[in-house]
Amino acid sequence: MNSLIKLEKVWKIYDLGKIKLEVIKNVSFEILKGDFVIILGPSGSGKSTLLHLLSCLDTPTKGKIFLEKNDVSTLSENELAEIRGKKIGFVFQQFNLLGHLTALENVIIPTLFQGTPQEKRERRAKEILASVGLEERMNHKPSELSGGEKQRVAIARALINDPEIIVADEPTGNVGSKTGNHIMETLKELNEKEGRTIIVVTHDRELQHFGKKIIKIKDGEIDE
Amino acid sequence: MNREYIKIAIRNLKNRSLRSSLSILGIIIGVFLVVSLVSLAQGITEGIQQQLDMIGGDLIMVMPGEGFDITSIIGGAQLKDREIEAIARARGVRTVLESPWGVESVRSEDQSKNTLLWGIDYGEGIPVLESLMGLEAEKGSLPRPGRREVVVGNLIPQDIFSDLRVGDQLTISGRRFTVSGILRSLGSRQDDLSIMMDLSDYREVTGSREGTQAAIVQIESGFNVDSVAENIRMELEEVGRRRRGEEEASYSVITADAAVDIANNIMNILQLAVLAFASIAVFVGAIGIMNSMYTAVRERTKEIGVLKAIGAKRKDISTIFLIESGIIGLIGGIIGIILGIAAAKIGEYFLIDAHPLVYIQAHISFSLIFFTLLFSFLIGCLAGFFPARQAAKKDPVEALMYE
Ligand SMILES: Nc1ncnc2c1ncn2[C@@H]1O[C@H](COP(=O)(O)OP(=O)(O)OP(=O)(O)O)[C@@H](O)[C@H]1O
Ligand SMILES: [Mg+2]
Repeated sequence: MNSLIKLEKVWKIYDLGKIKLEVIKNVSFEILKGDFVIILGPSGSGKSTLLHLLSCLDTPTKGKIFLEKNDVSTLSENELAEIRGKKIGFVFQQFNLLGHLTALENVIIPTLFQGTPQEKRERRAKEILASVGLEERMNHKPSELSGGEKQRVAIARALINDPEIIVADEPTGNVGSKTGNHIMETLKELNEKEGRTIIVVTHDRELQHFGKKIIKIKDGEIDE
Repeated sequence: MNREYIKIAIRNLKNRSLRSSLSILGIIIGVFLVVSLVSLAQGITEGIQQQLDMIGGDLIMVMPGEGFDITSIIGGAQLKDREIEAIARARGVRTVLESPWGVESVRSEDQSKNTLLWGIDYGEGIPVLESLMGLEAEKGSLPRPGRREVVVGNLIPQDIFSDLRVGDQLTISGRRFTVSGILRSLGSRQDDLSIMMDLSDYREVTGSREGTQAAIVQIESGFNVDSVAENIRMELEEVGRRRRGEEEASYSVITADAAVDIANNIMNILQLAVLAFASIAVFVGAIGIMNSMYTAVRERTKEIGVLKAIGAKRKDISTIFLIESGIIGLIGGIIGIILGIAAAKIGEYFLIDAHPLVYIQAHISFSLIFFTLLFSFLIGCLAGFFPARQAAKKDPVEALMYE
């Protein structure tokens, strides 16, 4: 199978002066194209840190990270931004939409950094919003949307640049369990129908069954 | 540059209107000062310039006061008879024409208006003015001495006594005069709005026995303008020396060439002063904008993290913040310009009657407004430079985790 992301003996150590805080300890694993990965672990175990590492948002203190065979652990901030913008879509626990922009405008934002032509980005944003069932809510501000709707706007935003990988940090953390399941269903569909690789971080064991691959993490280490 | 960035910047600004409106104050004050004072200064200088342009190449203008500055024009000092005599004594002087002016109530039929009167000795003066300043009647004829005739500037029938015609009567201080002609424009608005009368008539209606705000000197042929001007200066100094004990007098002896320099000097000095004050205000304004931008960057740390996560590079982040602070500057500039124009117009209203010599009309030039707008936008960008750079440099993960 095709390797998409590969971690080799990755460490993340925060130097807090007196102590060195080892948040990720010697982690190695591989994510394949088309995977649906659930990273599971208790609070403070290092899930978010791990997600940031494998989504090119952060660089490891030690070890190597490969994205499609390319070593990304030593890239500059702008090079990483380039990769994130083109290949990775982000979904966050607190939605992180821009409060003063409408749903449509929020979805368009990632295209600005890619120089997508004006007409194309608007058309595409509308299509995607419609595909997540929000055609009626395009011109609403986040404050006028429910938690589930906000998260669907966030998913639409993650999809606008047609990324290969979608990463989601506790995407169900701020919504009820029914809505949470609905969000997971949406992600599953993106995986099954469109072949996108999905990586979801959660502390909720109930969500395990959505994953094709489960990575359990505890105190910064893979917990077999 | 991206239109969407401007949209984002405007939305962000709306969300923090109160604070950014406070930070805008310095720019507003600076631009306000520049626009209002430069407009007025330019207007004043143009008024003076028009007046000076009248002095032809071989004429010399003598006025009381040092350096021909605004204060001595507005101050209304006058040359007395003995000073006129002294000028006449100077080598190379052919004719000295007293050229006093003053405002009197003038009546035409049932209308009574305060109008600028200009006295000139018809016998000696009209030939000089005809040949050297192009004095000419547009309608009717130039006046003759001893017949109580006056000529009016070409704007009088338009702006003061509508439908005034050649042959009409004007009553000034109870004496009746006949309008013998309407002059062709002399090039300056205040001249075209004045009534020219024989010096003796002028003395009579104004009740002033002697004194003139300016004297026009025609030089003897074969003499050099500058050396005659120097002779006049020396004669006047002599008068000043004899008058010791009284207050010391100073004079301006102006030739056409010098006049242009003087007008430019006044303009430069006024504008320098204005710029000095304005740059202080703008500097304070820039610090204000910078401060509010730093606050905005801190408050929007999380947003910066999100934008970076979804692909924004450093340049994108700094562009967004730079546009925002540039717009703050621009808005400050627009408000400052509006207030400045209003102030210049109000100033014009009060200054218009300040002195009849200089007709002051605020000159609001397109280039002044254009450059002020550009400048305030650039100041905004400049003030936002360091905050924007700070925003751009934020670590994506730390920014994203910021609460
Ligand atoms: N910048 C940092 N400096 C120091 N310590 C940090 C930093 N970022 C994270 N940590 C620490 O690393 C550990 C793991 O954090 P992380 O956010 O990855 O946990 P998590 O599994 O996502 O927890 P949660 O479920 O609460 O989100 C925590 O103990 C946290 O305090
Ligand atoms: Mg976390």
